[in-house]
Amino acid sequence: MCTTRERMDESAVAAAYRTYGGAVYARCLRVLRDPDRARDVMQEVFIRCFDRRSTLRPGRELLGWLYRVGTNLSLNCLRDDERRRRADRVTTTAHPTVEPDGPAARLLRDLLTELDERAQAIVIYVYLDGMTHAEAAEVAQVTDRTVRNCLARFQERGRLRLGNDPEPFLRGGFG
Amino acid sequence: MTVQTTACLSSFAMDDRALHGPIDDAVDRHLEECRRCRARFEERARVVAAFEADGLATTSWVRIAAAGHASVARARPQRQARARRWWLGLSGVLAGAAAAAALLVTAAGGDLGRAPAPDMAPYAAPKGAALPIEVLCRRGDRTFVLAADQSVAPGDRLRFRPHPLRPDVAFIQIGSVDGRGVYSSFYPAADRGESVPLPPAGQALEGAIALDAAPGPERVFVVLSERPLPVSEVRRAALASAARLAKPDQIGGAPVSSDWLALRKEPAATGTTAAEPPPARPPSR
Repeated sequence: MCTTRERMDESAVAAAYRTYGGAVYARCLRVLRDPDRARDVMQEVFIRCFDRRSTLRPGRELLGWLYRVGTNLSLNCLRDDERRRRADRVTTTAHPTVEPDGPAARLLRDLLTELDERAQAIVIYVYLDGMTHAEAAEVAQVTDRTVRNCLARFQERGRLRLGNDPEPFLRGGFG
Repeated sequence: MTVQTTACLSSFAMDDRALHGPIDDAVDRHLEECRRCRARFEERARVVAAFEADGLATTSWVRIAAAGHASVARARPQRQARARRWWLGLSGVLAGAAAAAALLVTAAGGDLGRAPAPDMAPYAAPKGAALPIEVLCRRGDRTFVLAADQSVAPGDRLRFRPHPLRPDVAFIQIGSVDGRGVYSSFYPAADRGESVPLPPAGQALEGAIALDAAPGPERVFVVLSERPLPVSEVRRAALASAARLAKPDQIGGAPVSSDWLALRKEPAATGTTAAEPPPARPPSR
C-alpha cells in the first residue's frame, strides 16, 4: 500500500520546538557540558529543521533527525575547541595554560579526534548515550556493520594507548 | 525504533519514552527496577523542565524563526539561479512554451501572496525615516501597493511589507489606533503576545488585516526592535504618542525604530459591497 505522510510546515516546526526543544537542549548539554553553548547549538539544530522542514516528517523519526544533527553540531563545537586549544598551545608556550580537564578526558578527546566525523558521532551514541548498536545505526543512518567497524577502530586505538581491556575506561570516561 | 530494554536505557530511549509515551512495557519495567536509569530519567526531566520554564526558551524560538526565514531568503537566489541554468539548457521549443505559459500566468493576475504590480508609488515612511514599509491593499479582485495619498475603506485587506534599513533589527510589531482611540494589535494577533520575527527580505508579513467600519483614520503603529517586545508595552507607547504621531525610540527600555502610517479611511470601499464589513481585525492567516 502506498501512503503519503504529512511533511512539516512552519507551524509544525514551532510545534516540534515546543515538543523536542528541551530534549535537544538536554542532549547538547550532555555532549558539551556548557549551558550557553548547548542553547546555541540547540537553536542551530532547529534553524536547520526550519530550513529542511519540507523534507522532514513529524513524529518519532524527527527525534532521530534532531539527535543526529544535535550530535554533529555539538561535535563541530568540540572540534573547534580542540583547534583553538592547539593554536593556543603553539602561540602561548611561554605561558602555558592549565588544562581545564584531567588526563582521562584528554585521552578520550585525543582518541576521538583520531576518528572521522561519522565514527565520532557513533562513539558518542554508544558510549555517552548508551545506545545499542541497532539504535546507533538507526540514528546515524548507517548499517549495524558500520557501527561495529567504527567502534572497533575506537577500541583498537584505546587498546594501543591503555592496554588489553580499554572498555571500562572508555565507558567510565564518558559517564 | 527498537530500543534496548534488558540493559540500561540509552538517552535516546529515555527521550522517546518521555516524549512519545509508553511504547514498550519492558522500558517502564526497567525504569522501575533500575535505580541508575530512574535517576538518569529524573535528571533528564529536570533539565528539560528547567529549560522549558526559562523565558529564554521562548526567545530562542523567536530567534530560530527569524534565522530560519533569513536562511530561506538567502537560499532562494541560489535556487533561482539553478533553476535559471536548468531552463537555459532546454531547447528553444520548450523555452518558447515556457514563455507562453509565463505570459498566461501573468495575464491571469496576482493575489495577495504575490508581489503586486508597482502601478503606484508605494506608501512609505517619509524620507529619512527609519521604517519604510509598503502597504499592500486588496480591494475586491484587485491588489495594489497603497499610495501615500490613497485612502482605505472598510473591507479592504492590508498586508505589510517592511524594508528595514538597519540590519540589527529582527522583530516587528504592528498595531493600530482607530478613530475612537482604541488600540488593536495586528502582529502579533494576540493581545498578550510579543513582536513577531521579520519576514524574509522583500516579503510581506503573513496574513492580512481586514479593516472594519470603525470611524476616522487608521493610525498604524510600526515598531522594529532587536528583541521581541510585549504587546502591552507597545500598546502603552502607541496610545501615549498617537495624538501627535510621535515616534518613540525606546519602548520598555529597549531601543526601537518606530513610525506611524496614517491611513485615511473612506466610509465605504469603492466598487465593493461594504454593507457588512468584516468584524475581525487581527490578521487572518
